[in-house]
Amino acid sequence: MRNDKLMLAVAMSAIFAAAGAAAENAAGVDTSDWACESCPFQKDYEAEATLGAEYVDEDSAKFGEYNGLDQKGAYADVSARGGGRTESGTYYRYDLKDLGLDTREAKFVAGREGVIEGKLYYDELPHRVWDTTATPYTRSGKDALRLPSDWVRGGSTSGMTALAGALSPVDIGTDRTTVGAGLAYLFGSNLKFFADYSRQDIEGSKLASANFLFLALQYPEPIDAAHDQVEAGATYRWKSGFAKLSWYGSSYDNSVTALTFDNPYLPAAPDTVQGRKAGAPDNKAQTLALDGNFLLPWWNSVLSYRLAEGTMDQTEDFLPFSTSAALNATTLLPRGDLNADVSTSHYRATLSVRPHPRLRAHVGYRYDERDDGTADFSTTGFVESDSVIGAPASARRYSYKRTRVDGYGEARVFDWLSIGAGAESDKLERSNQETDQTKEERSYVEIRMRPWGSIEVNGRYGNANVKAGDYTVISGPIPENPLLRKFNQADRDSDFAELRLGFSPWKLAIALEGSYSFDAYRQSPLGLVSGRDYRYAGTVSMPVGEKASVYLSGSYQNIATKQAGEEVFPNWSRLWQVDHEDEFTTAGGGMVWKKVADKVDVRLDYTYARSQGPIDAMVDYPSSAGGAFPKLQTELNSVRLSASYDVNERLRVGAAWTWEDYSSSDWQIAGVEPATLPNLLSMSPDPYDYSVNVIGVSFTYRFGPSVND
Amino acid sequence: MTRRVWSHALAVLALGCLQASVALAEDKPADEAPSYSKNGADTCLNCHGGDPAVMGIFRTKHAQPGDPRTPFGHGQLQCEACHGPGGAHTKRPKKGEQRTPVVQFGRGKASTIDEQNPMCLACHNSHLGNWHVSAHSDNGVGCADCHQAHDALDPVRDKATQVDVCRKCHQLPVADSLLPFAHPLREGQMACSSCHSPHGSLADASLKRDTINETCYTCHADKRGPFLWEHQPVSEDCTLCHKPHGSSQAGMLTQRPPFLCQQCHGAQGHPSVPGLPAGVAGGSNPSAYLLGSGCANCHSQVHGSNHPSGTWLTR
Repeated sequence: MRNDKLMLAVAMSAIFAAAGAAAENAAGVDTSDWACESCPFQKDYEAEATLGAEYVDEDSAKFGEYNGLDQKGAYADVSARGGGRTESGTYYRYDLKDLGLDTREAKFVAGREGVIEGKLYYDELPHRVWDTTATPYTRSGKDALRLPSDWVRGGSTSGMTALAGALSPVDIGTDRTTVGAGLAYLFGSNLKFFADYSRQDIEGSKLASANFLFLALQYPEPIDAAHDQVEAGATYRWKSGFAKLSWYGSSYDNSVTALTFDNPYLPAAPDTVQGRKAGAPDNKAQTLALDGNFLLPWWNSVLSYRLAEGTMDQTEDFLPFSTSAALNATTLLPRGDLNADVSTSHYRATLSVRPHPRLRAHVGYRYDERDDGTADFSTTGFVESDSVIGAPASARRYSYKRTRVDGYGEARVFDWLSIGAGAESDKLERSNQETDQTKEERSYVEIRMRPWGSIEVNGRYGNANVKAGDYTVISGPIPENPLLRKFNQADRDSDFAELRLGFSPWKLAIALEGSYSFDAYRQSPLGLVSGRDYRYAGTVSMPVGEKASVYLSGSYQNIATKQAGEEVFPNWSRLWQVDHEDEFTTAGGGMVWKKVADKVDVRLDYTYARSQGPIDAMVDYPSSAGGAFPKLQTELNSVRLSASYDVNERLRVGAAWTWEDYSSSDWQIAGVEPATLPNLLSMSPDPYDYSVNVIGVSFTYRFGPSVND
Repeated sequence: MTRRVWSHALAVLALGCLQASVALAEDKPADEAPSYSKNGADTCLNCHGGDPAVMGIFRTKHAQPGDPRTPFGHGQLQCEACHGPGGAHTKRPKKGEQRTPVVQFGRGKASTIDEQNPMCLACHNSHLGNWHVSAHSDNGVGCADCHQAHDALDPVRDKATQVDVCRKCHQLPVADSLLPFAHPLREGQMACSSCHSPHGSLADASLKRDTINETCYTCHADKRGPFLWEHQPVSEDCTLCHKPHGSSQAGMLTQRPPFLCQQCHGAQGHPSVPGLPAGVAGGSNPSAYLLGSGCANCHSQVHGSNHPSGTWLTR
């Protein structure tokens, strides 16, 4: 009976609330005496400001990869947040974080409740990549890299006799700055207009490569680009649904659409002393979309839909075929730019029904299309890596249509047991590729149980099958191996399973999670042959007394793949196979102790992570050429201890210490000095290795009243 | 195999229908409407007003008297807008009986998810248009499993703390953020909701944009093109080569070059040459096909090239 009443109350409240958001409540309850006199609504300015300092004891790009603490030294810890409100409902609030770091961000929001809200925000994201790299190149202007005037070109790196004296250290990384603004206006109770704008500026450099035929070089490629995005539209809601019409626009503007670099090698042709690469072209995209749903009057049904049409454009002027005037003279550009014309379509609809509290189901339809209508681009020849004339070439345009139909049903068989099943058909039609179509059929069963007490078990098992149809190798100037199958266009059989378990014996809270998947490309003699992925994780937490809690967590994953190939030269061939196994293990633990003596909070966290990647190669002849690669490994140990002390109701003092140790071994870069390889002028990054301590102290002061005063 | 799964599924559904039909017959409607409290929030706060966790609601969007849409807007039902009619709850229970509950939010509480979520969805349908078909809904996740409605600094709405909320159920993808190459979730510079819509979407994996690629382009527009010379998997699906939750390989690649490239390319000549241990630095035959960036030492424009001479993605 009690449950009946509760269910009725829930249903009534939901219906009443859904019936509209008028000033008077739709339940018809006379609330004229509900003065809410004891409600401590915010009426004044309230704020909290933090001022402190941090000290980092070692330089490390990897440690500072995304936190900006990559340089040894002191950093200011400055943050603040606050806001004010009036009885009429106007308000403002701000949030300033990490003002003394390269991760600084600021957000300011103001408006009037239920009418209008505007926001401004600013955000910086550092991405430090390498601080162990060196190069002989110096930047000249925004789009050229020059070698020293006394550079000595060589047929290989060993012939570059001025290299050692020309090398200078250079850091690699970027800074991404985002500024944005948004405005939302509520026209009456049901109609809302909104507009958001953001601009990302990305500046810095990346470790890039280029080549002159079979001679390669690495250099610090400058990055200077901006990305503007706008989304604007209106949402109308009514008693039984909503509709949203929106427009999304994106414009990417690259200031480095071409980069010229000196050729450090002896040129293949007399005037190919430089090379030039194209940067990412300026481009635009937009999408017009209609979204919404209908709450249908039977079976608690909801029909959700989305109709979206978009375009992608690109009209960046083409560069010449080469820096070499002589080579350029040998062939003509068909036109001055690509004038790319790609349209996208996305149509989706899903119907969910709940004919009874114990039964629910949904069916969905999704259609995605990328239609590349760019005009044909064919040349009678091109210049390969600013060195020699290549064969005639034609740019293939890629389009696809993807149609998916899926369904899922679940029955709560008993109060403690729900069983469900689902299936999906996924057809992908491609143009100008090895297969015209792949079709995947996927099905699965699910079970959710609460057999007794706090135990919850969720499980899923299923399989999938991809049929790729005829596979036709596309002819090119160099013949592709007809036995090789590109894995995204190959037949595939898959099995997958997931299991989650949660229970709380005594005071413990235990959460376990595992998954398994296996992909077999049975019709692929060469290429990716199989992939297997299993992983599990668990967390145990427990309160200790009234004020403290402890936790332990860990995870393990193992991803193994097999691939096969055939080394083919005109007069001979040999088969080979490579097995990869990526293992990843994490462990952690910690404790939180709050309000010790009513004034002190303490937190301790330890994190461990290790990745290993054994690779084993096998070749049929000579078999001794195969074997295991040197170990790939990373290992992270991190400890963070923080504490705070409430000096009084307004002032809090905090202190924190972080120690993080990271080591790695990576044969792909270890020992590869600038001239180690005859045909690769390397920037010689070292595998990451650091041990960093960070200590900090801060003071936080609270202004104004609080909700609990 | 697929047929077998389907036959099992149909059997299960048939059993479920049978069981549900029995349950339907047993369910009886309530015979009286519940009553509301006498003085709304003032009644509630007589008992609950000393609890800081409760009072936090007055610093949130839900407690704005100037906004008629909110529970504390003029004429609205205040605490009972979400917790349901509290008339019976305010009455002293008879000896030996428990107090009549209101709707309680959170996992392990007396109210089921089916009782909790409709309270939120009644107002938030237009914001959560795809909740009904979301993975979270399918798995019985309650709004309050993630949201702290009484907390002005709801952790799940802050990118620096959101991952700790998601971790409670999604331990495996969050563990991936500790991999050597990962998006900056661990540093709190991105959140799961930077890419995913936890309230559901009609896209794969509840992504915020229509496709995986369009989601990636919001930050990586330089990869969008369209390029003169396109690399087919790039325009189709970024995850064919990248693992967005993190990877042991630089660039969050699924595998390092040359092996990754050779999963699709085996043309006569150097693309078919196997990477072998002898090719590492200090080996008998150090190889630029293997070291540095592998294939990308020369074919560096793997995302596409707009250079007329970029046929082989070198320029």
